[in-house]
Amino acid sequence: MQMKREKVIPIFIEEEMKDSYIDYSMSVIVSRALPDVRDGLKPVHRRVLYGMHELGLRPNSQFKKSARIVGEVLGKFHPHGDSAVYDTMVRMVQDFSLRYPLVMGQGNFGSVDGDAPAAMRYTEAKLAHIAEELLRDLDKDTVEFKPNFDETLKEPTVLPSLLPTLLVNGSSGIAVGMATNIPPHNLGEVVDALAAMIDNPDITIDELKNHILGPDFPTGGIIYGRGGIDEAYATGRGKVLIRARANIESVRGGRENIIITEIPYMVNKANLIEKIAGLVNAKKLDGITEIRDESDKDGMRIVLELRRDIQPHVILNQLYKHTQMQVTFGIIMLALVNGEPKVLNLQQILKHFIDFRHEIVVRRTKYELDKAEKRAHILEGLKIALDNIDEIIELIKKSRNPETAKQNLMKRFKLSEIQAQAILDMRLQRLTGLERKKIEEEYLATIKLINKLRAILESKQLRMQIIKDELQELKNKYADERRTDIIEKIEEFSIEDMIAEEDMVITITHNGFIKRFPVSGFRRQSRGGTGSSGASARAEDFVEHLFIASTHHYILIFTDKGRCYWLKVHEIPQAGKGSKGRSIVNLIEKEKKENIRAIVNVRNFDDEHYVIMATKKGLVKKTVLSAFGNPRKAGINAITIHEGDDLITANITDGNHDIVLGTYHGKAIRFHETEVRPMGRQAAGVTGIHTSKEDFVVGMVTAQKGSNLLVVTKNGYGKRTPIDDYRVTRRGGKGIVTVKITEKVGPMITIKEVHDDDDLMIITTSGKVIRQGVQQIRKMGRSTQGIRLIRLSQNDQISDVARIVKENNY
Amino acid sequence: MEKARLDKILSNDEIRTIVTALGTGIGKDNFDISRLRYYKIIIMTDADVDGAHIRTLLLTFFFRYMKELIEQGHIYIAQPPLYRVFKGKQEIFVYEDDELQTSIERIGKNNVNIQRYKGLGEMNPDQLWKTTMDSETRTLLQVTIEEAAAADLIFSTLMGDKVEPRRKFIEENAKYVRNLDI
Repeated sequence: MQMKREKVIPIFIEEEMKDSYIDYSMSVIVSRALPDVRDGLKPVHRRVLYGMHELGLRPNSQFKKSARIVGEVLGKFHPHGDSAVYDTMVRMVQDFSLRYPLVMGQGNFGSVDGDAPAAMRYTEAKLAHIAEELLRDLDKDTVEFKPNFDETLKEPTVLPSLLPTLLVNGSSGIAVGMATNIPPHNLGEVVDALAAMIDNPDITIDELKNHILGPDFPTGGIIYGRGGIDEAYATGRGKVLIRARANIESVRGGRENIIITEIPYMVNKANLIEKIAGLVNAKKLDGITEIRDESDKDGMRIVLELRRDIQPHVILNQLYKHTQMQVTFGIIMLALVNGEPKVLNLQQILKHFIDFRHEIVVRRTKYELDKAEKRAHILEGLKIALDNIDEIIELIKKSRNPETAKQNLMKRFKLSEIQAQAILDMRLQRLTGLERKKIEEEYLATIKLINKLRAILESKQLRMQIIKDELQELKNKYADERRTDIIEKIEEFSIEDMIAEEDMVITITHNGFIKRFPVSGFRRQSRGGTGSSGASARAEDFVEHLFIASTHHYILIFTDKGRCYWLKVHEIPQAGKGSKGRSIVNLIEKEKKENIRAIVNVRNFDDEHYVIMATKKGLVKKTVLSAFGNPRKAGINAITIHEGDDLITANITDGNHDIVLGTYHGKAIRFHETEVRPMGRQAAGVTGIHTSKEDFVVGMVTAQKGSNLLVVTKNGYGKRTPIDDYRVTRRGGKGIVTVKITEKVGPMITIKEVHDDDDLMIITTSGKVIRQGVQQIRKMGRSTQGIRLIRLSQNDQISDVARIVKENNY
Repeated sequence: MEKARLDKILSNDEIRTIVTALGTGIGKDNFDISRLRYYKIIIMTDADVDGAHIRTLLLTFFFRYMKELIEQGHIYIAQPPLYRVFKGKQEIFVYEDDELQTSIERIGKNNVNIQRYKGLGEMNPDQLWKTTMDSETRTLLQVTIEEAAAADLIFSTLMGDKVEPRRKFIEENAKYVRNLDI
């Protein structure tokens, strides 16, 4: 068997992990994911631009295939994936990705809908005009070069960018343990800020904000609130809210459309539309009847058609809430400073850029000075030659070879080797008078240039002026209007922002169907006509409650189990007059076995109003309205109901009402509500009327002086009695007779407060419904039987009586 | 990565292939080292920083899910060369950065060619065999655990879901970086 010479070296996993991880993470941080604070570029961007520059793809030259550019960059500078390079270049073409695109593209470079660009074998590219500002002076020894990956070529470590790329085009990247996300800005504003900082190096961030208003996205949109911008500029981190730009257009038929013309930065339009459509289909967004993308080559235009009864800005707010029509841009201004990642504030970024520009100007000036001095040196030699031309020609003629001629020239005229060589290289046509003058002129010009360059190197003020002038020129050439609007005030984004505040007529039918419609619309419709009473009421159903409430108000719904549920008025379906509405049961999360007993509307959950509740066993409870001010979807206990008891009804009072309780056996009691002290929500209440064992409460009226009470019995008898016939007593008594219960009339089933012009709807157990005006019911004293309201067939009885509210009379 | 659930890990094709190849099964109840089909499991990744990254991911997988393999010394790391120094038919493979100069001198400075390996794919199959895989000449690093608790902490720091300790680690260790990607 052969001897194995395999070498095995044990290593510790701890060390291996640490070493490998730090190699990887540091590489990603310093040479992959983060931009340099000076030229604002990541290595891959820099390499693409430099590669294109090397290929001679100037703005005025021909386009070249993207594949060639990618190949060049991969083969020479960037030993990574080809798709990474192509994607980088594509992004630099897209005018919705870069505020100032650095590359011009020919062909399909993708769209704001997220469509992929064509493959790199189809597309072509060249540098954009503005990219020249990043590469200008690259050949003037302005920046350091380093060997490429296989040490066969050199590449710049940074580009001598005149364009403050980091701020104007922004940057985003995820490294390891850190990430950067710098929004784009407006070139004009950034240049103004730089100029202001050159004039006043101690300028504060607040003062800089007079120039730089905030991010300026290529896709426009609207930034809401300055807070996040201020924070980001002061600390390097902050969050800004960007919204799409949307307008409301009126179209024929009184309808309105929402038109979206700009969407937030980095949002995919197709996904956005899909999301909106999804919400509409899922019924989470009500009121959009059609979505159309009318965008074309000239611009974006998404049309949302709305139903006629819909408030556009309510839909808009819902869209902001639920879709990418509003996004948060988390700013992290992290960049490499001398190869180290640093979170920078606005001042620091600008300062680094100015320092960088200063270095570039110094190096460029030195380079130009060196060149000018060399030229002056040669020109000096040429001048000497022209002044002594005859002697020089003689001398050259006598020399055996060029080398001797050079030596002789150097000796005779004290010339340097370079000068002597230049004389020997001179063409004879230079001896003409005109050419001689030209040399003279060039010499003078070069001396002037040298003096100027020296002055620049000696004076920081001059250098700063140059930086400023060059930036100004950049601004004149490329600056454009701001695209993103900034709205100072941040709107508190509550649910109400999504709901138009508008007065609504709310109707609730006897069978629990609820709907709302705008007061304005209602009045307009009813003007002039006598109206058909009860238009909305079905034969078997009719409107029992009608009130006006703002869409921002609540209605409270009480059940027999003592639970209270909230319903926001805007949550009630809006419906036309002819429609029935929706069952309340479907709008609240009540238990199946619970029955709705009372519905009240509330404007304010204040301390001046009370909820008065009455139970079957004669308990009453008063709770201040503000105790109901924290809506919970699952409802709350409004009162503790004991076993075998039920909540009969609930009402809202202002603390100055009389309470009348009526019982099955025809008893009634009247007492002032101050008799009942306010209690917490969990309390069970106090005795309102002391009922006998078989008796129970059938109704409660909260009334004020002058009201009339209606009582109705099971067998169809009823009467009206002025409330003042009932003596005000203390609570807890047995009550007095309000209707004489006999075999004929049957027990009392309800007690109601009525007005003279009310209509009543009387419902029988067999389902018969009879309508009757209150006027027809005679006012009678307390202790009477009343009159027959309705002739009932055998075995039929009254099941309920309700006041009809006439919609048209409102 | 570190805390990823087993089923999520197994949804990765490469990991599944590895598990299948090893034959031991995976998970608390299923792992059975006696069914291991190979004595040496050698991690061979590109000699660049991305290779280093993949190596850390694989080591994390073995440490968290097949720790016994490491404890019993089955996990190795291959050592591919970093450079090929060649002139005519002469060639030297260089495995350490500081050996490069001596190798160049040995072969003669004039007209010397240097190939820097960034990926295993740059080598011809026979070159890869000769330099890295030949069991008679290759060098292997055998992965061992110095101290279980310390190792555990390092994996949690580097691969855990908390960013802050990771950032701290990077800041403190930035100066120890061996090679930076260009």
